[in-house]
Amino acid sequence: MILFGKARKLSNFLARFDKTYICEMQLHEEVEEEKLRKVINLFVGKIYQKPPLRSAVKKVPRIRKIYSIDILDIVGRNVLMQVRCEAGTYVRKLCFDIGEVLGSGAHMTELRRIAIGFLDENYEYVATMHELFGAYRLWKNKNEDFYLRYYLRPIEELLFFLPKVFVKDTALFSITHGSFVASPAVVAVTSDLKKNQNVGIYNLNNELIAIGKSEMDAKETIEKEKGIVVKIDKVLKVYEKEELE
Amino acid sequence: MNQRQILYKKDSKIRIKLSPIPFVKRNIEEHLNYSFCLLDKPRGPTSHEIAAWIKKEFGIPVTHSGTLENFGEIPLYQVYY
Repeated sequence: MILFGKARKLSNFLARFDKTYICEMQLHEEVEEEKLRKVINLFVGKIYQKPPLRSAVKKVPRIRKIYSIDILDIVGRNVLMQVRCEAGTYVRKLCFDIGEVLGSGAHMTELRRIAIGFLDENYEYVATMHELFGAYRLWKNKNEDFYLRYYLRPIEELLFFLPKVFVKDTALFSITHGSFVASPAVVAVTSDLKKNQNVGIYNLNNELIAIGKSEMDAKETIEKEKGIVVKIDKVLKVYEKEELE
Repeated sequence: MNQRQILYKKDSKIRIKLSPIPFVKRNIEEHLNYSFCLLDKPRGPTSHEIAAWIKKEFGIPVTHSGTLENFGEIPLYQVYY
């Protein structure tokens, strides 16, 4: 996934999403299928994982959650599986650990991420490098923006699942300059808003301007006249005074 | 979650403009700045290299979110902001 321009600010946020991978594991010895399935099932749930030598994080064991491991195919020593896991799980390490428990040893030969959060590779607008560059040049040279708009999706689409808080135009300046979203600034919220949860702050044109953590639930927000509704995490669009006049 | 509704405050007279999909229609320059793209990465070049190519071609800073394995959690994108 590529994030453009201001959407970059979301990258830290997206890094915390669950991921789904398809990986191919090669066993170093023949193993009975029944035993293999049993061992793989042991790895579903919370596991301890020590980050590999070549990694970015501190090399201390940490707990990661594996939601599911589905074996898609077994051919000889090669096992194809689909792993859904928490962010920060090392799948290569997972394969190695499975090999250790089996006693045979194993390593990962192929890896492909097929989903991040709610988006997967069946998403309508997946582009190849050629398509992306082609779309850009078509716009640059021929001023035709259809394909560019087709492959580059608005960030609102990425974060559709977050509860929304809509705020007044008059509050946009202070919110995008670091203040909390207070109750009088709110026009409306979506009904799925709960306390202490990530939310998107939207302006009245339904554009995402910031993300933050909620301090009230939906019912409280529309009833109360005072108080902090959302604490801002990341501001995407900074409004200047001139723009708002 | 599919059936969520918009709840207005009691005294609010303002209404949100909910346009049909694509719900946000910006001009194209602005759109470029607030967008993402799911890229089917070819084998070979790293995600970081690809991000650099796109940055060069498009002339705007980009970052990738979601690389594989070794780069799992390196916040490479922090270089940009």
